[in-house]
Amino acid sequence: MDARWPVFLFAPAALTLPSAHATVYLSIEQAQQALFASASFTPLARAGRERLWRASTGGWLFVDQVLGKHELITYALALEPDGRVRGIEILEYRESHGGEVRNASWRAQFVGKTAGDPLKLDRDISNISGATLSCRHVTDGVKRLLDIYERELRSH
Amino acid sequence: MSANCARIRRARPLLGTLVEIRGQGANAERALERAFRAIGRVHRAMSAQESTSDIARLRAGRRAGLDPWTRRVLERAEEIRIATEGLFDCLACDFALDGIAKGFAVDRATEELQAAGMKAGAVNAGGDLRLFGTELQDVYVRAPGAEQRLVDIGRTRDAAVATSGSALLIDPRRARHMRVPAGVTVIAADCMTADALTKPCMLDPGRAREIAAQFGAHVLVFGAP
Repeated sequence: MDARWPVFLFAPAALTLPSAHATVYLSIEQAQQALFASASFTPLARAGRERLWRASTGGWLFVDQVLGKHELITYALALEPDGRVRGIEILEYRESHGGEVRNASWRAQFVGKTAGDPLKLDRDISNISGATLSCRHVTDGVKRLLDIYERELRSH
Repeated sequence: MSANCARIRRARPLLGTLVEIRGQGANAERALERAFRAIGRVHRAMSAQESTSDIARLRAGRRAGLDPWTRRVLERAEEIRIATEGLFDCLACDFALDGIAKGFAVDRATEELQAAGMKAGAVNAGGDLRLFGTELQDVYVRAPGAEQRLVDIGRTRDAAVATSGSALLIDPRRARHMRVPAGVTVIAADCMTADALTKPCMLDPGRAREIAAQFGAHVLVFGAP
């Protein structure tokens, strides 16, 4: 440690800004290639909100969204042909705090949105150290998708 | 910039949080895969929830067969326990290594990025943040107790930063809950140290600077105790 932190030491609270931000990690197509190299994908029509593909090399890919108190997370779950988890990737993370969250319209703007339909938020900030970001909603979402696999896909 | 020398970022749910890794350099995809594998190893070895983890092993009184990484974390935890006169104590909390393992995982993932030849990169496990590279980057802290604000703490090329915002900390010396500040941020040479030091600094904010200085670290205390 040396003199790389002058601002931090003298005026930590002086520079603040609202923390609405959004990060796009992967498009659905990129996630498909990352999770199943060189497979092709057949979409399966379903009644639920999650999207589902069958991979030509065997296995399945779900894309789903979870809404936390302050954040909307779009994620992909890849399953092996026998239903074991092959991989999980976050596709998009969007966050808002303060007034927008209490305002129902902030939540309403997500209705019907998909990962291919990105929202514009204020900024994309890379380096944030902060109170732990829970992944509980994603974990719960994965459990829900595994239940769907058991009910609907295992017999395929 | 050629296709195999890209700047990429990925996030996966690990260590009970969202872990984001960024890398810039040739074969960045492979470098990030290595980095996530290191995080996965820490997750499996040091998760308090998984029955096959080293934590379960330690709680059962067995020290044989521990992952060497778990041993490194235990050794560092012991050094910090001694230096903080018991204010940081994993044993008092039933071997929970949550307060140090996340930072350790960030350090191991950062090493993988560097070993894989990344020119720049960052690993962020729910606020335990480490970055490296040649360009100056802004670093923000989500203000504990006022999460709608991001505090710009300055620019750096290379740093390890950890923030703890927990309002419910147990003082291991007295085994009781303490009134603590809204949160603290520690900046250190490595993320394991930064992560671990947030706890004693929270418990004794009046001595936080002194505690951090023992490890060559800086501390920022949010809110009055």
